[in-house]
Amino acid sequence: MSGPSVVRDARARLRDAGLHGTFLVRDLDDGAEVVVDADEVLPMASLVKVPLAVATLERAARGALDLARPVELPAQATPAGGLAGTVAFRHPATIAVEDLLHLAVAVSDNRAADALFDLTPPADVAVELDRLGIAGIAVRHVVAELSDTVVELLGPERVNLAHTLAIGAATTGIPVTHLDTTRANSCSARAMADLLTALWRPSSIDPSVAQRVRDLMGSSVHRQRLAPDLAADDARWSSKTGTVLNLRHEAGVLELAEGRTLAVVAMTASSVAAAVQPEAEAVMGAVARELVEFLLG
Amino acid sequence: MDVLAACRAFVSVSSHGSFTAGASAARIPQSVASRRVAALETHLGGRLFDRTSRTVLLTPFGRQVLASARRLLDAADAFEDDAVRARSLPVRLAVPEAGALETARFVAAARAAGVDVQPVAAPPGRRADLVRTHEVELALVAVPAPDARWRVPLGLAGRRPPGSGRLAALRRGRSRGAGPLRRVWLLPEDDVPHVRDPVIRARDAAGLRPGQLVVGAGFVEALATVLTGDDLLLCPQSHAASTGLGWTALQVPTVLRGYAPAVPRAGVVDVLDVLDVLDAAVADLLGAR
Repeated sequence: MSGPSVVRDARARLRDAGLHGTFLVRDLDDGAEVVVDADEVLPMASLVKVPLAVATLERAARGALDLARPVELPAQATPAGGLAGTVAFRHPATIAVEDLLHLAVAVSDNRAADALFDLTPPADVAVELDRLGIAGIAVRHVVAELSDTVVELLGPERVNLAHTLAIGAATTGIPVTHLDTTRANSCSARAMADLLTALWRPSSIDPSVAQRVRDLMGSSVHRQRLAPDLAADDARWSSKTGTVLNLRHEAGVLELAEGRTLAVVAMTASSVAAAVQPEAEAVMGAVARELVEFLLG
Repeated sequence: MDVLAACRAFVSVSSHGSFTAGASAARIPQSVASRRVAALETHLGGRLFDRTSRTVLLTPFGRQVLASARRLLDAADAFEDDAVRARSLPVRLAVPEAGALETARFVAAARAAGVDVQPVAAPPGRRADLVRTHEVELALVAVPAPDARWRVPLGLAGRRPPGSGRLAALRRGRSRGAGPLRRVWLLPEDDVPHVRDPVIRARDAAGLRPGQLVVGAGFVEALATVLTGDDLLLCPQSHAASTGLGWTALQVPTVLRGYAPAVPRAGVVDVLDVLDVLDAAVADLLGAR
């Protein structure tokens, strides 16, 4: 297949699954890329935990923050349901900054992420990214706001309605903060790929910081989206997923035992009014696989 | 006074030239003819005939009104003819599109019950229009089950219908070598909110791809595809039986076609009585039993 036909085929498959998708796969050594609408900016959801980790570790590296510092997480009368990590803790806990980083990235723990945002607020994360020359990633708000959408408002019985509203908001122009790329934390697939390149190859990011972030992403428990199509014993997949309303993302790096390294970023918006969409996720994985195969071939 | 009878006498006398011949041709006694013509003259306020000579001649007044009288009689005759024709017309009934065999059986059952029915097959949106424009006397319109007189459960017909009766059986998952996606075809008859919308919601909630429900294809295309492949047709059990396909009732969601009679607002209400006579035949046609 040629480059343009691979892209056409990807778009068709995504459309068939009710997805509008932006993908970028880049060979980190020769810079070759295959791109599907990757310059479109979308709300980034939990992908923001990666730049948060970079900013936190950079500050620690220059002594502005102590990774061993204990952070108090108080008892919660009504912990969040259906989620894992400290969001679900009932009892008080004391967790070190470094361990909060692990929870924020590996489990996508929103409460751990916001404890980190307390130490390095969104504006300060933005300043760090700017200092490092990392462009195109807008960090504007804390993570708790990702759990304050119409889905939570309408409850699990009406998840279909909540998704219908969110999908409709995109076409009717009614502003839904979480989907507004001028107010939500946002980036393009390309900007995420650039961040991954800066983490996996020498860059302005401190090498020990980059190593730590790579390890955090290598510990991710969310392996239902792209991992089934990319990971193997001879292909290490390190990534971060992000999900809010009808948006499903994953950004990661595939390191092949043979020596090649590929950044793979998939950011999608669904037009199907369902929260759980394994078919859509299967198509995301299949498209990622096709694009990876194309670059490797 | 009976203007028509008087006109008949007047016109007959005028064309035969005498009261005797005119009355005879109109099959009335001469005295009656004379009386009727006289009544008409009083009614119109002028003499129609000049009775002075032995032959009867039209007066100038009579000559003026003769053409109108003839036209009046022609119109009255046409009026009677229309009524006769209308009485013997079949009841035009707007029905869902079904197979020729089912429709023929329905017409035969209706005739056996003494009703001459002319079925007009049309999609659901059109049937309500047909009755509004008086193109049919009666229509079977698609309504939600609670409002319906006849209810038809829907299920999945195909060569391999899912025993569970659930759309989730059509999920293919990540296995890429598992062949083409199985689809459910929804017929134009079910492209109405109370059937289509619950099926769409169930499709999404079950984790199927949007393309796994096909809406808007015609009956022939849908059936042809289902007969040869692994796809399924959403339809009543009776349709499956006539095509030799297997059928399982749809459990999640449970959807029913509903039908109710509709007549034109200013229409003849007693045409609904026809449905009382034909209730069983209609139920068979719709697949309600």
